[in-house]
Amino acid sequence: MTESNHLPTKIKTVWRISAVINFLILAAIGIGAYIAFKLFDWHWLVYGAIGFGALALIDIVVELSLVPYRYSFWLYTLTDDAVELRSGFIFRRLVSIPIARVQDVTLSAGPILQSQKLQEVRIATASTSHKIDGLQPEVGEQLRKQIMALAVEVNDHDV
Amino acid sequence: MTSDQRHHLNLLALFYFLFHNLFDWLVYIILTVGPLNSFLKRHGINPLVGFGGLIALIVLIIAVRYWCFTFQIGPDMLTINSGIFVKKHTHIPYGRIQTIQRSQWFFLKPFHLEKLQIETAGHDDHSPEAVLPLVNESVRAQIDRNRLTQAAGQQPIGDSNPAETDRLATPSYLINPHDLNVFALTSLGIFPLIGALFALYAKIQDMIPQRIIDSITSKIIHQSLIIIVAVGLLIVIVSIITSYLTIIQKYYKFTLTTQAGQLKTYQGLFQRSSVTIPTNRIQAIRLKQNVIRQLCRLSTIQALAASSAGDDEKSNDLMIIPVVDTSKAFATLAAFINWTPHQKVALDHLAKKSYWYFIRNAMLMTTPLIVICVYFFKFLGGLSLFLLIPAILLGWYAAGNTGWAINNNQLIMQNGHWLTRSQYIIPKKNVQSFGLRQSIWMHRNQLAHVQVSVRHGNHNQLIELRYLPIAKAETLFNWLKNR
Repeated sequence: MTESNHLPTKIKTVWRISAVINFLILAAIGIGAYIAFKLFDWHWLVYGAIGFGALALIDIVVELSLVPYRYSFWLYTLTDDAVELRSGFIFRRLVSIPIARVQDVTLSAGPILQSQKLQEVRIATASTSHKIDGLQPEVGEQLRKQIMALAVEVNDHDV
Repeated sequence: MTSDQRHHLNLLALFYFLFHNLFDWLVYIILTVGPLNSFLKRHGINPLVGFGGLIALIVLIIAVRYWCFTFQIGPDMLTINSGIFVKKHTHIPYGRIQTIQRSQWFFLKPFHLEKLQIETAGHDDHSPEAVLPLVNESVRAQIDRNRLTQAAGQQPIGDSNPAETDRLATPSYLINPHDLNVFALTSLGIFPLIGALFALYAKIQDMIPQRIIDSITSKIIHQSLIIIVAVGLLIVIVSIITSYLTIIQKYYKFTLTTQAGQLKTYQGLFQRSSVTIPTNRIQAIRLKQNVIRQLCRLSTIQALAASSAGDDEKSNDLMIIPVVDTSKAFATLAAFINWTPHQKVALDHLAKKSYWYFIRNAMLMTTPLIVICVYFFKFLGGLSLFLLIPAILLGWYAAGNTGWAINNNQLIMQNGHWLTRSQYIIPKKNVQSFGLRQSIWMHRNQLAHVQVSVRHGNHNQLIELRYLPIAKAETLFNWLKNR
């Protein structure tokens, strides 16, 4: 499995849901500020309400419109001895993490990821930490196995 | 001290505990003065007795804390027990120790007492994993012995005293006074210091009442230029002297020795401090030169390690050789660390036409400043355009000092930042992750940045080569990829 993979398509749903949740949180703060303004007549709260409302709108528009972009330019490759993450089109980035350097892998899933049956994968080396937004549990498991296999080769004294 | 028995710190450590938290204690005392005083008056107790009681309580707390702080030097791990209510036990296997740092103030030397700080690669905390504030020198010797014994899997090396083992150590490096002098004189550290002193001067001027200033200025109004120049000169001179003396006292009689796969440094005039680090724990080597030292052909050699022991609390840079003739740098270093190149490695450099990107970026950095100046000061603000000259020079410097090479199993990366050139020698096995970055415009021009991550202190150090031709960048990337 050396070809580059997109994240599972379901990740788009995850990103959209989290964009909507971010929007709702910001909007709720804005609305709360507006209600407080009406109740207590604190004038400065109007600006807070407008600010948060605008932020919420900008946030949801930007996040939703970037979903296809993020999806199509976010690629990962799992080779025998490395994980490669590629992202961005305007600002491109390619990171390679030798599996022999990996100290730990954390698989986690919040409610949104759980609903889509995905797992967030966080790969930590002795100094850096890298995140894959969502993977099918099988892929996460394969990564974990590979790392366990290679971990044997790593010298105790390397760090 | 070979058994697992619990040891206490030296009794003088009571003072350490007292002074370490002196500020807290003073705050407590000040906070309690009012209430305590009224309480004592109401009950007709002599205030002396009351405050005596308070001080006795503080002393008691310190004594209990001292009593609860114990350490055990076991056969395979060091255990530190501390805490009065929350008991804390820290276990450090000898094999996991990255660095042992000891420091000794001159007035403690006759008592053979020192402070020990022991670090592992764990990166939860900013402070060292274990601090023994005041212990006898023999404790370090004991820890060292157990560590070496465990590492070699041999019988204990016997009770040789530390002085003896130090003498046997070979090879060794001792900074020579002339080099130290030049080193101290060529430090760029005076510039921040000058800035700080000028800021202080401005602050003092603010604090002097206007009336006094007025009366003085009226007297010396015709001499103001002379005064300003004199103050300026004074500040510069004080900065130079302070910076010079700081460096001299810090690296006074700097020595580096190697023994049984460990490097050991000693340095300092008033406070002798020493760091011990196993050679195989060094993540990378950094050769550093500021622009003046480049002209004087002097280099500084530092080690990057997964420990925050360093000569500076902020930078974690572990000094190995403070100053050495650039031409002899590698030869000197090779005597101590067996994997570094024995001589200077020829580097690849950027083509002249790539210099433009560095210069452009430096100029872009100054643009907001210039825009602000022009906006507020109109025509006079135009003078800020002169800022472009240092910007161009800095950009040129950064580009001209970018270099790279692959040498056996090591990657050599060199870059220039703020008039300081750093050359990193990184064994491939210590590269934690690496990558390429480019913008879409750089893609069109066939350029890329190469980034390499190395563990340094408790953090990640990202070492970057900017605006490399894509073919070269990919060569480095692929070389790093092949195990």
